[in-house]
Amino acid sequence: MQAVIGSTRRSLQVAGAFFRLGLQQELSYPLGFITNQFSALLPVFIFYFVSRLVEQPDYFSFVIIGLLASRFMDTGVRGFSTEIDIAINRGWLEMFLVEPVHWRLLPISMVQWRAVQGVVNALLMAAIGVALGARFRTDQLWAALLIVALGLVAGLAIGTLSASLKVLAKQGDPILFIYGLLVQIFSGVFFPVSELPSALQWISWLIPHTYAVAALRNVLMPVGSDLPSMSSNTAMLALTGFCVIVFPLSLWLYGRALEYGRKLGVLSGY
Amino acid sequence: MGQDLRRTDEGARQRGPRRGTGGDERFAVDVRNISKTYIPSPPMMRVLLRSAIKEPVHALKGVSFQVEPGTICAIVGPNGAGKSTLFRTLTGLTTPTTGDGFVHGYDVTTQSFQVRKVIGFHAADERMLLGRHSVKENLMFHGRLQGIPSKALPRRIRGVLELVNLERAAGRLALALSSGMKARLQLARALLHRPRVLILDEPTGALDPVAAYQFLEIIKQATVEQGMATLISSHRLEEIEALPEHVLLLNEGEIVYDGHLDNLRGLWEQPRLEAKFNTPEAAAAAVDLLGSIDGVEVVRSEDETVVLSSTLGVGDLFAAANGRLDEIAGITVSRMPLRDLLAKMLIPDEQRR
Repeated sequence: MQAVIGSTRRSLQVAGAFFRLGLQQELSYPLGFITNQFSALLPVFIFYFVSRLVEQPDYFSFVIIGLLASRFMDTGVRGFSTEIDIAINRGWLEMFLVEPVHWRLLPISMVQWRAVQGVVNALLMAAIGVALGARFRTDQLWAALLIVALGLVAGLAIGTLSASLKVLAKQGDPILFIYGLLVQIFSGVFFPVSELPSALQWISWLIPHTYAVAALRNVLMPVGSDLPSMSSNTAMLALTGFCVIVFPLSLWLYGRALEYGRKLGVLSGY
Repeated sequence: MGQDLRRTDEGARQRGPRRGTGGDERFAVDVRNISKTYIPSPPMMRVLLRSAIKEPVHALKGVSFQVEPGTICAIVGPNGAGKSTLFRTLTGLTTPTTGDGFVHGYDVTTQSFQVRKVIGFHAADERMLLGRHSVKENLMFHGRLQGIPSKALPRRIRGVLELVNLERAAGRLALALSSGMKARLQLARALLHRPRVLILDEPTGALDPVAAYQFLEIIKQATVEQGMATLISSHRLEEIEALPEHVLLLNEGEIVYDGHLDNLRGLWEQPRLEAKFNTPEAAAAAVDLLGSIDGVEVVRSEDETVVLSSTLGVGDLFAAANGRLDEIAGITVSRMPLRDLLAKMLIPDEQRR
């Protein structure tokens, strides 16, 4: 029991160190933080005007919820990979790897600050969306939070898979490139999956984004909306399944990639 | 990394440094017959990353040595000798192809996590510092990753900053420090968790001679006071001479010499004789004469001066010259510069000429 407490305390200490690192980095580049927030908010304004052309009355709410879900997922998907990129280019990866930190703790530790950024960004998007006329239900906020958490972990699983390649390849991100394309078209962020040709809809159900978007819509879309959504229980079950299977698998692959890089002697290169 | 992560005993580490069970307990570093061969990336991997090498590179070939606690071992060798690979192996950044290495008793291959707990590493690359963070923040971050308790951390940081003489720069951003201060900050970071083994990869490369001298004095002091084993690589030979305890000479992945610098001189050094003649003609005649004597090598000849490297003593030299050095005005015997000594050991005679 003492070992578990010690291990947990140690993990929290490491997580705290990386959180502070992210915060201090952000404070070092305040203009970067502001421009990042603004660029993330841009789609809200774009889809406000697009929604005025769409006859469906709840389309703006529909797409804002899709953007919110996507924002959370992207934090997990892109956060770790981006942090690994930064660490490789600034020469920090070698420093992290010679510290007595479990290498498998790095994905979660390094992505924390980006998760906070994602939350702040999503709240701003929601607030601006509401100000521009989007309507959300608030009676199932706990379910929404659970979906967001599952989405983050599912996204981190994909991000960790991508980072596994990155620690060896250093540049280029084939996993995120392909995944990003699939998300744009098949995840249902901008239009319902049912609008896709039926022969292609199966692709949507392979992407965790689709479940996070569908589940969040189910709990946040206004009552009476006739835009399609999925039962949140079904979506959460699918997301949980994805997290349980893919997250440990991605951590295992990441560990194998580091071990392979260690054997080849390429961990500290760029 | 899977195996060593599973073997980690987090609880035991929290209680403080404990000697591992492998290797010879007398030594802080015990390297046994380690070889490292870098292989080109497999063809499938080349889609991801172009391999820097086309043929296998044997970076280390059966290297064995030991370093005792409280001593400094200087690792010397030309570029490509295998110094950095050796350090990467000891810090767990790469694995040996064959052989065993133990740091404070922990196996560098299978107990990399524990090894990383007991080593302090000063990399050659100053980018390993967090440039946009203050000196203190750099140390706080490292201290947290090292698992130093929060309450003890400020005290430790004060102590180590005092040791490296950076107390007054605690609030300055790392990127605003001079090269000397950055090197001292890296040293402070490497010493913060009180390592058992300190590994310094060309730490004085960017320092001026005065800063390098101060830096080495700190290392000498810390090594003795903390009872660490310190491994240092450097291209500055005057620094190696200032750290005379233990020299490991590497060349093309092999140990050429392992021992005390004085013993190295005893084995390889030939006294330098600088003879001054009354006239350039007498000097030129002496070059012809002396060059034909076994065990004598004319290093340089200029005007009235002839510099010789000789296995013979001055008396034997005169005897061999058989009284034909009558126009000699003076003779000085000096030690062979370390640079020449190493060149003599590492570079074949025909290449040196």
